[in-house]
Amino acid sequence: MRKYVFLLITLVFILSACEKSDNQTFTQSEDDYFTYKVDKNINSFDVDENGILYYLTFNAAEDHVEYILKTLDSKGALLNTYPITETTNKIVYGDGKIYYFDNSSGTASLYEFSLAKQISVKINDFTDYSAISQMEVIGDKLYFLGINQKNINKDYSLAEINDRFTYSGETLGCIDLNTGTLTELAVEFPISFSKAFDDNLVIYAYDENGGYYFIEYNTHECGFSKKTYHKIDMFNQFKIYNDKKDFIYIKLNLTTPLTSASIDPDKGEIELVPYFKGGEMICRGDYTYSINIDATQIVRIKNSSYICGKDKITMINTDFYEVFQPFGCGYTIEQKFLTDEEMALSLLSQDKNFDICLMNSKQTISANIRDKGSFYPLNEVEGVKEYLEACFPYIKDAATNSDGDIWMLPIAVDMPVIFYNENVGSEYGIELTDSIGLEDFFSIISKFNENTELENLYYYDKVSIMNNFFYQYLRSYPDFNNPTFEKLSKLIKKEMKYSEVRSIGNVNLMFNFSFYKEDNFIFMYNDDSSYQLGVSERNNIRACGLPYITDDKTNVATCLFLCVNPESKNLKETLQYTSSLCGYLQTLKDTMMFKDRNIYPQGNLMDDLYNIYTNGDIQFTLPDELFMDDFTLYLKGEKELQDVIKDSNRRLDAFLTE
Amino acid sequence: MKNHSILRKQEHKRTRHKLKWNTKCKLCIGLSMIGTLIFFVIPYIRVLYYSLIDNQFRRNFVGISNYIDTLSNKYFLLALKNSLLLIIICVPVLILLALFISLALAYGIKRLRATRVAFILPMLLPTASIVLVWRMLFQNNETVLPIYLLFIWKNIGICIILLTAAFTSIEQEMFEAASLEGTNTYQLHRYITVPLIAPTILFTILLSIVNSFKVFKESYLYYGGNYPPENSYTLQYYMNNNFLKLDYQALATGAILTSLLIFIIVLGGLVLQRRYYK
Amino acid sequence: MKKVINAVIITILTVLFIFPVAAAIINSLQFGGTITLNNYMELFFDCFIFYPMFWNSLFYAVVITLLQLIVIIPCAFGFIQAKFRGRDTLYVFYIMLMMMPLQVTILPNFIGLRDLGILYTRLGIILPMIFAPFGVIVMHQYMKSIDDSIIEAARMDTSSMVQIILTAVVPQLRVCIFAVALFVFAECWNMVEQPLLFLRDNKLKTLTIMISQTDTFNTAILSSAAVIFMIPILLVYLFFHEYLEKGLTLKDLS
Repeated sequence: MRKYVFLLITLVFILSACEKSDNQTFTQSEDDYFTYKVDKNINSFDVDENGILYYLTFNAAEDHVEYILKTLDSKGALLNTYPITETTNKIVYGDGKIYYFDNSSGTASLYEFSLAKQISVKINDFTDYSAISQMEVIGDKLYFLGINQKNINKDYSLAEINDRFTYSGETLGCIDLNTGTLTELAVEFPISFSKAFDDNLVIYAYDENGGYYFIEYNTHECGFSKKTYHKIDMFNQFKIYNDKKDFIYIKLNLTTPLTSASIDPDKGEIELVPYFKGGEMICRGDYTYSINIDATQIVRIKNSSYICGKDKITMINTDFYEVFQPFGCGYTIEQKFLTDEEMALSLLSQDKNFDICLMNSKQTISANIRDKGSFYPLNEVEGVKEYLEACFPYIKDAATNSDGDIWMLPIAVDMPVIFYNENVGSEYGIELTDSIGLEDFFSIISKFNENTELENLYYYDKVSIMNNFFYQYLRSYPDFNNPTFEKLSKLIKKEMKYSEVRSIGNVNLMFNFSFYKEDNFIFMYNDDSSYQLGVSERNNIRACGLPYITDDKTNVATCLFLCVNPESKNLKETLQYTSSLCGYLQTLKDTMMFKDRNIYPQGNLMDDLYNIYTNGDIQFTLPDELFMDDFTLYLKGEKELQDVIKDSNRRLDAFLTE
Repeated sequence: MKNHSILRKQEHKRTRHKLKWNTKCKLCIGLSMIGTLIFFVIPYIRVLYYSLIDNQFRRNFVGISNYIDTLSNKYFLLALKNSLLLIIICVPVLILLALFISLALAYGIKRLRATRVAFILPMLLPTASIVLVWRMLFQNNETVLPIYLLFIWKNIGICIILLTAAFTSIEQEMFEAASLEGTNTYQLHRYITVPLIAPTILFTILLSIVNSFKVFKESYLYYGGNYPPENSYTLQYYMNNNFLKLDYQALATGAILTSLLIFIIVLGGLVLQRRYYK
Repeated sequence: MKKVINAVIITILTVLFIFPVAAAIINSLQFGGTITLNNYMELFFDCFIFYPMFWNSLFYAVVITLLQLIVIIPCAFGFIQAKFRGRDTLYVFYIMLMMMPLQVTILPNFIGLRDLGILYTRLGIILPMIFAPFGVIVMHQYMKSIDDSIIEAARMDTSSMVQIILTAVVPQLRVCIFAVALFVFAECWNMVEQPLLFLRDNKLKTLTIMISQTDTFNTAILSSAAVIFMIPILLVYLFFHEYLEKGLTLKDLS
């Protein structure tokens, strides 16, 4: 709920980024972002050419369900209410009538409801069809996408695994509304479609040879255009919103924003507004209508206010596995992935062709960027100081270098956390509290190793835990010649024996915990702050941090951040983007970076998490190869500990003093 | 009178012709010089400039303080030592081995076609395949021996070919004359063969030193990382690691110092050669 | 007796040198424990990036060799014939440039190519390699052995430098030119750092890059690609190795 109040504040920031170059500042009007208050159960909606919104809802009475069609005007006022006698969950508007399919008897029957006469007329029955997911009316034909029983077992086994394409019989059909006859469109594996401004259909489909593609169907001449291959992670709907065949769809990432994209694969995407539910979406005129993520409102946005036609912002990133993109705030973001050498080369040669470095503190080069000064100081950028003030002090310190320059903008902070269930634990004699000591931790691990019946009740990532211990050790000691290190190594070798896999225990536990609300476990390790926040409202589960190895009792954190390239060609716009992002992140409050306890939900688990995150320390880590490969050999038993210490010290010394 | 002016004209023409010829030759060099200037000399000067500033991004001139830092850096000195050891140990071994084998090939043994082809094969294999085989052979031996052997193995082919060709170019008459005078094999080779092929030997040494720097690729793949065992840590490792740490200054000073070293070696070679011709 | 020992030595040497090549070939023919052509099938039919990369390697090697010859023959000739004061110093300078390891000049080269606008293009690989000093040095050695009288005769006939070189110099040094071409070809065929850093588009990269990317391709493709990699250079060598030996007579280094 809080999200939507803050979302309006976000829009001010976003719209301020759309400042026109002749200094005409854009003031936000209600027209840009309008919400319709609708009933709790929305099934489907459509909008006609006059801006009147039609939506379908239902009332669940004791033994039957009543379906109701309601109409709202463009200001959100209720105009009419029509009861619908049939059973349906999808409507489409066409020329003064509402069309829908009733599938309750096993065959799909198409009905036409006349708004003037307020009666429904059956057009025809279509026995093979079911699960109609999309409909469009063009002229006197109705086009729809539904499952055809005859096509359910169609062979698409050549589809590449990477494409993640699955097919359950979807077919595009065309019904002549005058005669009631059906013809199928010759598209083999259709996924979704949209009406274009020139009355053509734009279809998104899959082809075993080339992958995903767009194709146009001319409704008058009944002919198809050429295929344009373009992969977009889009399995719900898309809607064309202008005559250049650009379309809007809901992007399937963490923020599920309405995103503008194009059939042309070379044009980039622009994320417009976040947090929409996948599914129904309508574009009429200059507006896009969609259901928000809580399914409580229908939101209407004015396209031209958000699609600012700005330049691209190029982000470079070396970590190939971190496919994260911060919210676009109206800018098209292009991400490029580089190897370590290419990254060093780009920075050292003062490359003008990228704007932002997206980095993680786990990457060694990030500390070098700070120390060598290859960044644009963000002190004077609007919104940055306020954003950092709202974060925990240690985050602010990590973002400020020794000269007082703000060298990076932190986006997310992650810490390892152990979730535990005290009750289940005590059943098996395992005690966990909100602060666990090193020996106790290993004795718990030891119990897990001995007792195989406990296997479903725990999960941890061995490599991640080892890394955390090493990070803790290396921030306090200059080399490995230390009894603390020897003791730690021996404990690790004894309890966390060498194995090929890093996930130990019940690998489904994390998913079950968040999706199925499973809480029958003793011990679960997780190091992703968005996951942790997502489960923070769970009762009877508590959390604690990893044990402390040294006297430094702060929790090691890793940080995802961005640095602005001082040589960037689009410096002014990049800084505007940074400002917008600050505003956006602050209003979103979706990460565990903020020091105000009140923005997070109440509860014991949240208290635990907050206590862990408040006591943090961001680590810019040393490269693994200095010690990890040798340490793995020691765990395997192929190398002696003293040799490992000697060689690792040598490498560490070389790294630090080269 | 007429003859005199014609004579003068001819002389003038020849002088002019001669000048034009010299200029034309200079132009020939000029074409290559331009390219070398753009792609080799200017980058070298740039590196020199980078070695005199404190930071790639702030560009404050600091003079030779970078050089002092690098020369006192123990890892630079280690790298220098290891690189020099590679040259000092491997190059003579390589040349002697090549001499021996090419002597054996050139005198008395029927040259099998296969052998000649075989020698060049090491140079043609891609690095990744060689390292794979080497790792199998040496079972991840952590000393510097595998790299020395790899260097010798890879370069012996070209050295043998160069030296064999040089041997065969010595005229037979020389040998006949020498055998008539009753010299034994050792004297024959020491006083006649070696001096005659001395230029080739020098050129081969030069080539081997150039190739010793190229063995970094194989070494990197063999030891699998940026921090090899102590004795294998050569100059390129020092330079590459500093590159990845964005410390271009250390790299630049290392590079300039390396090139000074090469300059000394080349100078030494030339002086030796001049002496030899007296 | 001596013959037997010599034969044994020859055999040992041959085995030593052929062994890794043989190992690579055998490795590429194995898959899942049996001898099979599976790796090659996979390379030719499933790995579509192989063909452009192979073509690129060939393209760069041939083009660079030809263009470099055009540059270094006149340059070496000029070094012999031209008389001016700094000539020998210039030559020593060339030798020094030749000996510079690659890491030294990677970054300035990168910046230079970027300023010229040819970064990330084919020209960015070709141009720097054409002007490598190595070719000049080697060519210069052979150039010394040419017969001056033929040059004089050619000078009488024509005053065009191109003509003189083509008619007088090249025929004499034909074998040496082949030798130098072989050297240069081998060096280009094996180059790794330049395509890695100066090219971003996969369609322009070379086979050497493909072989060194152990995490993108599986071992089947890598092992068979490595063997295919050897074939062109081996063919070139076999074809021209006689020229190599004939051409390598050096009388004088300075």
